[in-house]
Amino acid sequence: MILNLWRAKNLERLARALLVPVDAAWLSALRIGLGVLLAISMARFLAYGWVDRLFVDPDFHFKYWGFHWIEPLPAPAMHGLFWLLLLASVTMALGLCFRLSALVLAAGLTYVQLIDVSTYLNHYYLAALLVWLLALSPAARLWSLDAWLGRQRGAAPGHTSVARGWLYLFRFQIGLVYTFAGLAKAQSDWLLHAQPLRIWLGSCTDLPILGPLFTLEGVPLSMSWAGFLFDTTIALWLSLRRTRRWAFALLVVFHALTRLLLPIGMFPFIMVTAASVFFLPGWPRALVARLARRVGRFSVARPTQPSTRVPTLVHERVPARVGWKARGLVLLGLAYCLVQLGLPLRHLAYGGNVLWHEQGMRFSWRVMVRAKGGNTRFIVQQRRTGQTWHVSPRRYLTAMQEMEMSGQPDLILQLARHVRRDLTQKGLGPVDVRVDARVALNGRRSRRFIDPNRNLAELSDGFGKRDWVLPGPSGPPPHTRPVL
Amino acid sequence: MISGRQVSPGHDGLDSSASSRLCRATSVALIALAACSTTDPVENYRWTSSGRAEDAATVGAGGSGGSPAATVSGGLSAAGTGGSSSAAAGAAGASGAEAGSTADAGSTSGSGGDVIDGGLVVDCEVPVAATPEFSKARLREAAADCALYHLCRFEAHAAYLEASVADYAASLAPEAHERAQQAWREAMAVWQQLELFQFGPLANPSLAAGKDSFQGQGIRDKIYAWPIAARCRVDEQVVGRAFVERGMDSALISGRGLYALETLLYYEGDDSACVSSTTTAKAYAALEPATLEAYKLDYAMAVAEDVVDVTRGVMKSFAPEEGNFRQQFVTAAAYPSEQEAMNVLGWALSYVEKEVKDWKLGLPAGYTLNAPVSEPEAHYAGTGHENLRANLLGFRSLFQGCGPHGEGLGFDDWLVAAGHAELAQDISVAWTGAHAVIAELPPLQRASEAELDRAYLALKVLTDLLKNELLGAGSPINLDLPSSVEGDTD
Repeated sequence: MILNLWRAKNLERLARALLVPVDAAWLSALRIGLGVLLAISMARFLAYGWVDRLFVDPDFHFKYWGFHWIEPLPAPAMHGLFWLLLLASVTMALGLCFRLSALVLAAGLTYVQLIDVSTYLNHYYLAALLVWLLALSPAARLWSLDAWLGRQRGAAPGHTSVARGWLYLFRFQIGLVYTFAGLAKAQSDWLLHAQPLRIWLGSCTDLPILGPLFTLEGVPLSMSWAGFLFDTTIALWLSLRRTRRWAFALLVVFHALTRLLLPIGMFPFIMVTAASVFFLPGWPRALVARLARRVGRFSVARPTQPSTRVPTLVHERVPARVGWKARGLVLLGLAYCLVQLGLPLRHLAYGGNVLWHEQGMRFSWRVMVRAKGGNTRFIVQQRRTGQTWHVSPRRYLTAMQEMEMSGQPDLILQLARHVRRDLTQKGLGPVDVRVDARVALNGRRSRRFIDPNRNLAELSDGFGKRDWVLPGPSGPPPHTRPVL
Repeated sequence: MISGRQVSPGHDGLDSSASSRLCRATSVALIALAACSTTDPVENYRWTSSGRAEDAATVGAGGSGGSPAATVSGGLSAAGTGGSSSAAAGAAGASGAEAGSTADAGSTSGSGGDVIDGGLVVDCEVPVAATPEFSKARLREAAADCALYHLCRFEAHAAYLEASVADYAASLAPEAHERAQQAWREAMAVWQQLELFQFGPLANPSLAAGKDSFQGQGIRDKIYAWPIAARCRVDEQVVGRAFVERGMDSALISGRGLYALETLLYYEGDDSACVSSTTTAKAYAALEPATLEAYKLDYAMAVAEDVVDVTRGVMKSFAPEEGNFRQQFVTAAAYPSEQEAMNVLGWALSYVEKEVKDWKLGLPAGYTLNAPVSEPEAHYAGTGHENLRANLLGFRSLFQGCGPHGEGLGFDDWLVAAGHAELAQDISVAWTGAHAVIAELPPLQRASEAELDRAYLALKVLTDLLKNELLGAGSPINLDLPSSVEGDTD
């Protein structure tokens, strides 16, 4: 199909459409905003001791399939890496050695995420994706030290525009996050029972003014529906010129609320910054110009008025002929979009409730749709003697790792196999490792999660359906009442 | 609601809300003692073995076991109680098993409003909320008051323990030794209930400990640091006597508090636990038996006095003048949010999961492969099984309510208010089951494999409910697991 597309005239037309130059201001603003936010994010890791707690302290790390070879660095190097990523975030924001900074940042974020599955967060993943896209894009053409230094050295003014395809690609990525986050809420727990929102609101009843409102019957369900409608449609409203400003204002309010109610760190800030891509490409200039008019101190050129100091896109045109490099990039972009579309939908191949069995959960933007927790205990039986031990995961894991593992079958399997290895090394083997795992989902009573009769030590994980994960709950969750 | 007779002002430094309602622990007997210092103090202590209150004036002559009350022979003074003692202690007479069972029963209302606590008459008011209407602030208030109530009880027992140790040191009489041992058991039985109240100043402040990283001061470890315990550390103090010049802060937590008193009162060997090549072991071996005994008793008296002082310090930290923890906890002002305060309270419950099930029971039952336990709990005294019972009573105080049968506000009321009555009921049923099995458990050293197995599995039903459903990401009231709140989520 890709080859057919490559040969087709459609590709030529598509490429020409995507290569239409637009003002690069939006991309530079995104670079600066994201750089600043990621610098803060890295600083939080260092300041809050998360580098140690998440990467250095654990004796055992959960691996991604195919990435078992990724290991954490020794403690000093791990701290050094985060300082390096902080520096790279700053230099990326400044546009200094932009390409190198962004690539270091993207590679570093990816490495950090691959160290341990239990640290997976949707917004870390999104941040890594956005930085990779930025690193490959011409995001330093404007408002960067690289461009300024180039001009100081007498180089000819570079491009002040970027291909429209970049704008569409970023819009696609951000729109995808919102839309799939919304579609993940299209299920009865969220829409009919307001779960797990009822549970979370129950812990926010001390908030001034808002808190007591959460205890009113009907408020949690209204908020559930509001969240669902917001997520599923906001990309549309942001795309329409007439509704864009209001939609963005709503988006800011929405994320301010989520920041207030939920411990989601930098996610709201990243999303607000990233959603700016839905404005017209020259929005930063327009904003600055408006502010300048208000302040009355500066005179900033408008997007349509070329200037030597603040060049705009008017110089660039669509090339007469679309070369193989451009075609390749377009195809690469299309492939990226297809992968991004496919990943959140892969759960359909497994059936059942993805919130329960988790196959297709990661990389699919199911943001804050489950309150899921439980307890796992490994039942180890020595084959030779029949002696049985109850092995607590805490023996190998930190509290946070244990919490994450308890609701994710592939992580339970990984630890079971590790337990077998460990005990065999200690001379207790051969042993069978079964598991007593119970999980509660969205306020329901807990139920058995993993088949207790299966010897997990003999199983291996893959992309096939996990028949050792027991079926999830079918009944509705209980009616949780937030209380003061 | 059991209400104590108000016979004196509250403790030093405690405000009206904390002390006047809860901790009027000044004993009837010690007031009499203070008022009539020439009276033989023994006459003013009361001890019952049947759980029935006895009036100090009517305490009859000796007797043990079957006798409802017995007067202590030998001079027992209220050493170290200076000014604010709270003990109304009784003399010996109860056998170990009987005393253990009375301790397990918690407090019962005695005649005349006093509370019989084990074998001791104390005057601590049981806090039971006047209104059954639930709110999270009321739950915190109930928990703080319950902690104060148990502290009040413990202070009374600790003061009696101090007096008993001093009496033994003065007389060296075997019966005084027995009384001191018994006083230790009674104090430990109350302390084991307090183990469930590890929030605020008592709690370990480290995040990894999973107790109270916001307001914890680690004071609990000064009174009882188990599983951190080492007889060698006690020996170091006994022969080194650093505590004489530098005070108790010269002693490591592994060699002070109730653990140190246990080894000093119960360990009968004349050897040192330190490696034979160490200075301590050599000095220990070189001491004359009489000198060694005197040194041990010196340290025991210092430790007992320190336990009382530290306990009073904790109680004062609840008061407005000293730290105002009670009020800060009730308002959650000392915590980043109300939810964090509730988390800390929820984590206190998880003591029965890790410490009790995995360490105290799982190790002897053979279910736990390893644990950071340097010495089995109370193995010199042989009272590990009593501790288990007391831990469960402490759990009920916090989960159901502070009343003698679980009356008052507790987590179960929160679950009911939030629409999860079934879970509350299941946890209470699981508690009853575990309590019934553990009540029958003999001393752990004598318990059979089947008995330990049964106790472990009964307790596991309770702890599974805690870890699967009450705490953690699946909690219907959004209580986090200890130490798991580390970073962002989405």
